[in-house]
Amino acid sequence: MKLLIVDDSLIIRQHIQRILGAERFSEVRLASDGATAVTEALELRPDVITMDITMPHLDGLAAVERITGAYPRTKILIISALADKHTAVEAVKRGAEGFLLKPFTAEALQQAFDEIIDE
Amino acid sequence: MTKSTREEVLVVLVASATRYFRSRGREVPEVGAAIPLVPGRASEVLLDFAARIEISGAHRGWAVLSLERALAESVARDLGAKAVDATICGDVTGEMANTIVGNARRELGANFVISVPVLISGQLAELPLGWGAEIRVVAFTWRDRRAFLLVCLGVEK
Repeated sequence: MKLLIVDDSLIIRQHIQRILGAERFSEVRLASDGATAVTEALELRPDVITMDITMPHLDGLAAVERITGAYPRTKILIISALADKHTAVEAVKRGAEGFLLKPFTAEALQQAFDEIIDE
Repeated sequence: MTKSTREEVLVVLVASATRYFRSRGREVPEVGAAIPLVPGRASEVLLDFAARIEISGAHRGWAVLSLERALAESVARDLGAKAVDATICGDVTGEMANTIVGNARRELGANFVISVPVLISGQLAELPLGWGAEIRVVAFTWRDRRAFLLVCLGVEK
């Protein structure tokens, strides 16, 4: 299973990577903005992506739309601070399968991740 | 959704910051009253690290989160960082600002539009005033360290 972690915060990218663990993935890549995420996703073809929304260059919602347009089978978990219902609905409309609100606990991330993998 | 007043936005942001600190552990933050920033005294509330988020949509203005270095280091360690340097402290400050202001959309809705965080170096010139607004400051003490939330919103039309 290949994983792409997208967040403009270095410490959050590392935090997510630590929680999910490297050993269950054949490859893990990190991206710090939406545009890089699209480039990495097109090259890596990840099975799963964790995606922030508020990022420079291209926001996470636009990145989700581009990635799922190319690879509809990629599962995307949004991990964002944007707590309004409209954003969560919009993320699902564009192809995301789950939504986790920041700040999150390790248990909540693990559970949200397992849920989209099990679907 | 009806548009919130500036006072309501400030209350929501302070509550969001309080929730953030509480989410990091059992320590409860002490929260001060919202007071106007006295002109020329910005340096007293811009601590070691500060991040600004622009606000647009239903409101126009900005919010700044300012942290003592030890507080940023403490949160970084909570997030699993082993080696904590100035880059990590700045990153933590930006992430906390984004989370606190972004979480406010639960109450304020999607038309409370926010930018990515921008780290500022504590210069007064980087705290633009305008739109007939004043800067309100709220002090937090958490784990015996200080933080300030500065909020500047334009006059409602």
